Amino acid sequence: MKLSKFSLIAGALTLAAFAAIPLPAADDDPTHPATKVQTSDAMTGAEKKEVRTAEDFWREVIQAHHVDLAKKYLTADFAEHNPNMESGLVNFQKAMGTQPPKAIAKTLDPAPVVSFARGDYVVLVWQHQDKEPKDPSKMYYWNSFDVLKMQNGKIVEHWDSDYKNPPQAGK
Amino acid sequence: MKRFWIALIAMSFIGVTMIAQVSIGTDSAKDKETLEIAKKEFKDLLQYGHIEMASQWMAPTYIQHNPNVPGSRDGFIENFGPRMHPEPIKEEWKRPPTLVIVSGPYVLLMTDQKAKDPADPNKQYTRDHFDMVRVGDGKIQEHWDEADKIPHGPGR
Repeated sequence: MKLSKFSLIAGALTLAAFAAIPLPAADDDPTHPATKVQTSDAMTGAEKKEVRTAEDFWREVIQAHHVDLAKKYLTADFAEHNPNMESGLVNFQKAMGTQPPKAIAKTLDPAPVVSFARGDYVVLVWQHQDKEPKDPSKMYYWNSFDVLKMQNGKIVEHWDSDYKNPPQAGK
Repeated sequence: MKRFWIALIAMSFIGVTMIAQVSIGTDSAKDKETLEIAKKEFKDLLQYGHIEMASQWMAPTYIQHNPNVPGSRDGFIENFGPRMHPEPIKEEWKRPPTLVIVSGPYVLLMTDQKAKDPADPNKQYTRDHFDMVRVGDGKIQEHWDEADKIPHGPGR
């Protein structure tokens, strides 16, 4: 479940239903363990603040769908590299506004398994789990990435590990 | 020239796909050393084919999070070793990352990658591929990327 991803939040309502189903931990393959939640011990106070801002954006806007709050975090002309999304605050709000807002949780759910900032850049690594294609009784873990460039406390650029969706994906 | 303008206009509407090569957090000697260790795996081993360096630069307890590569350092060697064609190692990357970020033990490498456009298999688009490692005790301890067992498709 890629709940962290801009594009899927924007489009894949089918996954929202799937997300409500609790999944067993993907501990069936001890050679590919879950990531222990971790962060860099080398961050300055300003870099820690950038991580908090990025996580607040995720919690309020991405996870709780409060697109009205997006202007707190995104510059009007922020650059978007996700191949399914367009640059700019207005386009972001349009794409993300398809889902109704819900109560903003106090903590991120899910939270990134690795998070850190260096300079203007924030890195968030997410963990997902899915059924083994060859044996649906087993689960496995995989990861996705988001990188945010921040200036003056706002996001000016975003990259992620998403692929371009086929036409009509998420319908 | 016409293509350039079409591409520029397209990028302004459909997000931006490429950036110049940027390195962040590589100022101190410690950061440079951490990056050099990451480059042993992603440049010297995987791009120049020197799998024999794996035991020198990858920890015996190496944790692999790519679900398609066998776990552990030995699994990495068994998986990639037979495919390698060693070449003389050069200072420069063969396929340079567009963004490098170092923070403490972490090195993130983001690389532009061409992928087949699902809307038209005759076309390609540029996406971002990520590799990240955690370095400790002079070796790579852990690796993440976005590899998945289920092909990327609708709703994924």
